[in-house]
Amino acid sequence: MVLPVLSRIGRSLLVVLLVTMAVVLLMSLAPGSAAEVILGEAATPEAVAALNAKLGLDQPLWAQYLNWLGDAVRGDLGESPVTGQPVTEAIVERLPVTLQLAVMALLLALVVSVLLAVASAVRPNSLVDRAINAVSSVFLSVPAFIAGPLLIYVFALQLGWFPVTGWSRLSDGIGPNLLGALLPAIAIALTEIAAFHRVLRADLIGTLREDFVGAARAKGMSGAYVMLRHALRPSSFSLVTLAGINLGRLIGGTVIVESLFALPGLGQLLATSIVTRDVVTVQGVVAFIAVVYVGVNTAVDLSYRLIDPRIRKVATA
Amino acid sequence: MIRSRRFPAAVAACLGALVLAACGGSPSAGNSGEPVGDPVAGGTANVIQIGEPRSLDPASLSNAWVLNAFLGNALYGTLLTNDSRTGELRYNLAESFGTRDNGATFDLKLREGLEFTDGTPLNAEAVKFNWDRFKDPQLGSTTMQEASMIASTEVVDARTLKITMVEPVPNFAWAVVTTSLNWVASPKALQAGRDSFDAEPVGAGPYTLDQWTRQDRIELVKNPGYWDAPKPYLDRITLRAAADPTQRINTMISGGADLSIETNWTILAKAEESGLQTDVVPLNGGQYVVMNMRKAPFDDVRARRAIAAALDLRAMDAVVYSGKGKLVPSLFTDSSRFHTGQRLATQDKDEAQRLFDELAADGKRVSFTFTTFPTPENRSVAEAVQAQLSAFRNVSVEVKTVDLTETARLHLTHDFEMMVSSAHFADPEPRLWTAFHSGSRANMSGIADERLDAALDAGRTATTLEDRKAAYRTVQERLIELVPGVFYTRTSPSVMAAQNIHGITQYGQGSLLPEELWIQE
Repeated sequence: MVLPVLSRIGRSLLVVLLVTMAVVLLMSLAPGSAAEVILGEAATPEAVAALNAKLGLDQPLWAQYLNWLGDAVRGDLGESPVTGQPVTEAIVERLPVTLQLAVMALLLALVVSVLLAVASAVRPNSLVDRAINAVSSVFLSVPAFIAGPLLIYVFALQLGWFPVTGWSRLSDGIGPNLLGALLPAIAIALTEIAAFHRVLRADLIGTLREDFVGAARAKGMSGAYVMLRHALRPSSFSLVTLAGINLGRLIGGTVIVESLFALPGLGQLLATSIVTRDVVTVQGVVAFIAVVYVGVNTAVDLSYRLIDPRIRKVATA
Repeated sequence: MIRSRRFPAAVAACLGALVLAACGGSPSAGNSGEPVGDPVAGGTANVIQIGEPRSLDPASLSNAWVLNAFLGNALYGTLLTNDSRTGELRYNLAESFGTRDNGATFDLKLREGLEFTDGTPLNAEAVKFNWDRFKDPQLGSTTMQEASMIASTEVVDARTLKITMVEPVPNFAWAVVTTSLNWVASPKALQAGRDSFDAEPVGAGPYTLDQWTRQDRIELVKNPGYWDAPKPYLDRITLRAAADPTQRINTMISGGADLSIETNWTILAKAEESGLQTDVVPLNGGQYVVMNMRKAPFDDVRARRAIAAALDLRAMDAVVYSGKGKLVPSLFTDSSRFHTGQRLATQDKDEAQRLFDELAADGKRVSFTFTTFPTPENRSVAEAVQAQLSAFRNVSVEVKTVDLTETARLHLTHDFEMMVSSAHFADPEPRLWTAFHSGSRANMSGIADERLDAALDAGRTATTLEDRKAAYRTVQERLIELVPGVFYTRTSPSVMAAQNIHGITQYGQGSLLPEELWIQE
């Protein structure tokens, strides 16, 4: 039991290492440097070289990476050469925004998708099911950079229900905070709703064909009771797994929505840092996102071993 | 439509031996109404700026509307400003700024009893510290070029700083008004280091920093010890950044902000259609497609003239600014005292084709790459040029998009053939010299013409208005003759604001003064 778990964690750490190495390599391929961004149009070659030396950007790539890695394993993700802010502090400052967006989007997606999936699964291939599938297809095929502006136009500009941009902190009041977060959360949730709906619908339809459901019906239980008590719970396994994995993905995947709504989250930090060639911040944020994503996946994988004894047996065999 | 507020063209005699020639700014335009009644104190304004600063150090901020000028004015106040209607200099933290020797030296005298918000004195020593610091190339100051015009500074007494120039520059006040030289921060706070300064910047401006959450908001709170009480009128200002013009206008229309800095003609037109007030400082010069004269094909003046004759600037305006931009018929606006009516290039398709054919016959077919940054405006200009020139024979254009971080490299290496640049100014000094003098590092076209250089030098050092007018007449002649670029729109340093915002006052190149703003309930 211990060896497979350690092996899984080891593989996860390797993934994080490879991701951060890839970031350094990719950033080194991009033209320009943080020194050029800092010095701007007035930069002279001498000043750029001197600042590069001061920031340690004149060292070979592998040396820069190893230095960063050495500090990172001790919990120090470095300091942004562009803003002077410690990267850990920047992440801590922005994480609540991204986390709230991701959690809100996920909860929204779960609630809506469960309702739609139940409605679909009651009578598969009925008019209602086909209509819901069509809506689900639309949600799945509309990316956030289309859905975002559409939502802004309708609900913020035309109806005036939500702010167009900006973020209200919880300290400003729960009302303004939720109002500012809801529209971006909906923009993120749309594709999740579609994906969740499809997974749960398929599982529900399968479960509803099981003998124990037929037996429950034969006992005279109502359709709604059978659906909620007997069919929904055993059908939710895939959905819960998917939701868990998607939470990890969403923490690093809200770049577009955060940019569209000018929200000060991790995605916005990452996008700005890439533009300013702030390798230290990009490395730090990507490493953090990779750790979260890989961590969630690893936890899900490991939880299978706890839940399902068959996996444990296969692994030990 | 932007309605211009016309004012008498210029203040007459604007130069004297002791008074600087700082007049001559263009009048403001827009639809902002005059303030209704007396200013009302109190309230919080939500303001949108275009970008967030990297640091609050005055050396990192830039006194241009598009780059945190409002924030710099809020934290540090201003030594000098100009009335954008009359061009007249106004003294704020400075009591006077003058020269007795036609710009070889200047005396800056500060008001009495000025203090930074940390209680240290804002004296001549503090100004010397700030201005000397701007010259350090390692600092990457946005004002290095203008600060380098100063040879040395000497503290005469607590309130007086003597400035000795590298060469006489009678109009040096314009360099102060339009750059970070206008902002003085506490030397003690600056010496404490960047992190400490960004957490608690210390100036003597109308506002102090309450909180800065990067990429979210900058909270400013009224400085109760501001020298010009009862200003500032607003209790608090919340600044947010929105680089996307659509985000800015949408936020304004939905009431998410009270005022926004703006830089796009299309958005300004939309703001007016939506009932917002706008205020524009229509500068001379503008945006232009610069042709690199250092290499082929634009080392041949015929190629540059052919491009200028080929381009339909009105059609370009329709594409880039939905027809809402302002064309640049001549270098100076009608209201400038340097306006002579000398017209820049106009479209002549036949002449353009003749020149393209002639060059091809000489084995110099015009083929070039338009280097563009990935902003929608830049790309639209590049694609419009490419599309328009495709209608001609013997000319071909490639469009190459480069990242914004390439800016420094392009300025350094001049590794381009055509790109978008700007040369906008209220007074031609110092920007026109910087843009077109062969000795300037920011001379993007690489134009090197003895007569032009001499005229730009004469415009810089002349002590009478007539001499300056004569010098800038020659400058225009040479630019029209040599065609280093094609101006396609005036720049639009501007603000858009809700109707209950009053006291909108811009100086220099669209630098908004926060202490003048007030809200009518």
